[in-house]
Amino acid sequence: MRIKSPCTEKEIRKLRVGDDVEIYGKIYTARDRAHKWLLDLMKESKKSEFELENCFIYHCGPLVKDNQIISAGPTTSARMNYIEPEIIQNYKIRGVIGKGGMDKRTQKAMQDVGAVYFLATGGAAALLAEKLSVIRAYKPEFGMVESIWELKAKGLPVIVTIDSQGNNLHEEIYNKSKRNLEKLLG
Amino acid sequence: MDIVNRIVELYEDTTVKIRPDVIRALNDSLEEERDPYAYRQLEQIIENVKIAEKKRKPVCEDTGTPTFFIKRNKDLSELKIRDSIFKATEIATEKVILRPSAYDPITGENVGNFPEIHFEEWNEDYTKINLLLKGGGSENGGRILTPKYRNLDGVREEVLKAVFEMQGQSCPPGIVGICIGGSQDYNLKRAKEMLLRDLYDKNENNILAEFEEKLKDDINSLEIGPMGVGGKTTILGVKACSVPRHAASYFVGLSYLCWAGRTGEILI
Repeated sequence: MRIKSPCTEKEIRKLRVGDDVEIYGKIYTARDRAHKWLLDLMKESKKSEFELENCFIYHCGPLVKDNQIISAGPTTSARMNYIEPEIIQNYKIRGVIGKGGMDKRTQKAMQDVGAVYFLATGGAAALLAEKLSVIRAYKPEFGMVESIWELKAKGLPVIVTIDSQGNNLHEEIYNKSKRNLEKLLG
Repeated sequence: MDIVNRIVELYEDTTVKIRPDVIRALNDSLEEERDPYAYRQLEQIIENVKIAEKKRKPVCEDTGTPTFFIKRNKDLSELKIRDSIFKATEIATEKVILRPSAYDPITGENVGNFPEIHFEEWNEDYTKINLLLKGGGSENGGRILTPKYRNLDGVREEVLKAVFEMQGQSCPPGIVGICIGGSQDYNLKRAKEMLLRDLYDKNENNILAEFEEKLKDDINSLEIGPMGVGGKTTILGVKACSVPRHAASYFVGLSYLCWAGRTGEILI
């Protein structure tokens, strides 16, 4: 199914774990440094010069040449666990795109606010870049990797792995593989 | 062509291509995979490999820490090779063949890329340069293990636990490189070298050959799957070696390579 960023809480609440989604519209890359910066802005009660409300953020440090996205896969989302719930709640983020899944606290924030986690295929960066173009870069002083890139998505292929109803595929796989591990170790 | 240009070219070729043995293993896995989520992840991975090679685009945006393993002919100076690699890395970063992925850990300033180079002299009349581009997420999966039981069963247990802890974070299905024994820095380096081995080779040590096969099957039966979505393709291969250990120590170096780990080779 197709979904456009920014979107409404109602649209997001309809999504379920396992849904194949093509993302369209405006998304923002944000990883370690951008998250920290957004948190600092929040603490100082300042506003960013762009509007994140109802939009999706992408855990990604793209490879950009002459303002063209060449390669842009997801980075490991777990690094942002410590700060993501506050970002989601404060900025009313509707979707987080990344890889590896996120923790319980983030899942809870997603349930409260009405947001989901989209898993993009790690390393499939040439394929994902074909579905993205650059609108502009914020905080270029953070460097290519850590800048906040405002991107236009044109059918970015992802699946929902944490929904706003308390379902979490990563947790399911964790528990299943834990049982398998216990069996193997007898 | 001088060495600097040869290395820039090596960077260019290595970023856009996946090894034939990895492609073969990915295709084999796709045939075997019954889990719908896992199947879809593998499909996208294989499609991505095709796009990257056809359009000459980096397979993964994370071009990693450029890591060089060099077998040096004694007449070619180590300093000359080192200087050439640093120069080539600068050029490749400027031309955006490589993403500027390196940061100063104290100041937070971006410093482009910082190559790591391992030298060894050998008796051949040529020099062999192997390049490994390994993303940060896959490097983060590596660690030193200290098995409770100082034997292969103990190693198996700790490796299984380590891969379980990684879940989908280091971009499975990948390759696990292991070096049993040695000191802490030495065995991690050797474990990383194991990642350069062909997935379909056979370990010359029969005990380790059997150990690799069995451990691969055990890891796959964890059912973590590609990108951690479940399914039977968690790993494409296990490659192990051993070096003598100190009587008091029993370290195991584990290095993990994501499916998108890229390797290249040139001879000079």
